[in-house]
Amino acid sequence: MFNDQGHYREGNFTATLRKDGLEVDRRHGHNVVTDYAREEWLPKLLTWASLGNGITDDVPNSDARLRWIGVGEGWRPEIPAVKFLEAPLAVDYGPPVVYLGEIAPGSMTNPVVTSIRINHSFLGSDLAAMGDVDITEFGLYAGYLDTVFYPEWETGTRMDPESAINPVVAYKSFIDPLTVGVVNTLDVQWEIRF
Amino acid sequence: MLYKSDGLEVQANFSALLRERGKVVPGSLREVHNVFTNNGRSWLANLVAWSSLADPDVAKTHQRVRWLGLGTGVTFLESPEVGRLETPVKVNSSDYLAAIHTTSFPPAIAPGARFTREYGTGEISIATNPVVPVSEAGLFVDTLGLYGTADSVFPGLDTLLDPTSETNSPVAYARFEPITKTQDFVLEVRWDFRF
Repeated sequence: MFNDQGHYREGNFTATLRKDGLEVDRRHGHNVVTDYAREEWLPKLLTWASLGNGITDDVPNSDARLRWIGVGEGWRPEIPAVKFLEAPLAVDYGPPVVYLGEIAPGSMTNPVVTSIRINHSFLGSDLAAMGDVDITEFGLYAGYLDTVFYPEWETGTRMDPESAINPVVAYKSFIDPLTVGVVNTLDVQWEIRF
Repeated sequence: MLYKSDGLEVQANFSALLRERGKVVPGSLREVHNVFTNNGRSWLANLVAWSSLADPDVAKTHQRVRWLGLGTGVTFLESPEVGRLETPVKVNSSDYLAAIHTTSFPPAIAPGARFTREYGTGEISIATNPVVPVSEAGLFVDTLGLYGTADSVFPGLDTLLDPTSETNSPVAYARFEPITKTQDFVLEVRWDFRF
């Protein structure tokens, strides 16, 4: 991906720890798109379950799109078989306790037409509400929020932000933790290329 | 260098064959790799994202694999830059695009999806053009209804693409040795996406 100065960098994930707006630590590198994404999420997302005929509408197999980022203090190898974070952390201690950080409106952009970039900021006052946390893993989640239109056939594919266990479509981990306190912000930039 | 699992690359495979009264016509099978176009990669990058989050969430695009198109062009290369079929042929008296018949997820190609379309004896080889050497194919994404009111370009049709247009842009494109479709044959087309 390209950094703020327009220089190309390898990798497609960056987590930047800040204090008073200034960078104090950073992790950057590749990630892994999971088997769950390839086997269950994407094939259903890009296909119609049935085609409309002018009287009936097209009906998608799934409408789950990139929507949340989660963090954890565990570690798993970056291999496609990863399905869940090892040790998810709450991003908001509520109540209710929430484990998935909703990507802010307008934070999904196309740096080039064939990729999607997600930016998200976690507040230290949320992540470290119960004390400093050592972040070593991140997950990207796909789902939707539509309490009106979605029929029962998609039950089970909607994520539950109040659950610590949701399947990830992309995963990032590192050994050396980012220690987040209440005075910090944690900025995540994640890019998926096609 | 990018890791293999770093992004999402779609690999597409195409096959077609003729049948006469249910029996495969010898020598008619075509099985080729093909190209996922830049238009297709751009479509995927938008499909996976929300434009805004609310209740309901608003998608960047609702288009999904919906149409197949065939042609007789012989000079286009299977390049990601392909933006249309070279020489599209009509499925019937008015349309260049035909709706996919079935979408399935066979274990044999997992993880992936399979799109199939059977062209009847009176399709492609229509009365005004009864002998057609089919040599190119395109797969197209679109949406009808559902969110069509906001997306619709063609009032009454309620889809983004115009099936009667020759210039729609495919998300995948295949070129192959010509296969001659006449009114004696049914043409079966199968397109596989693997992730």
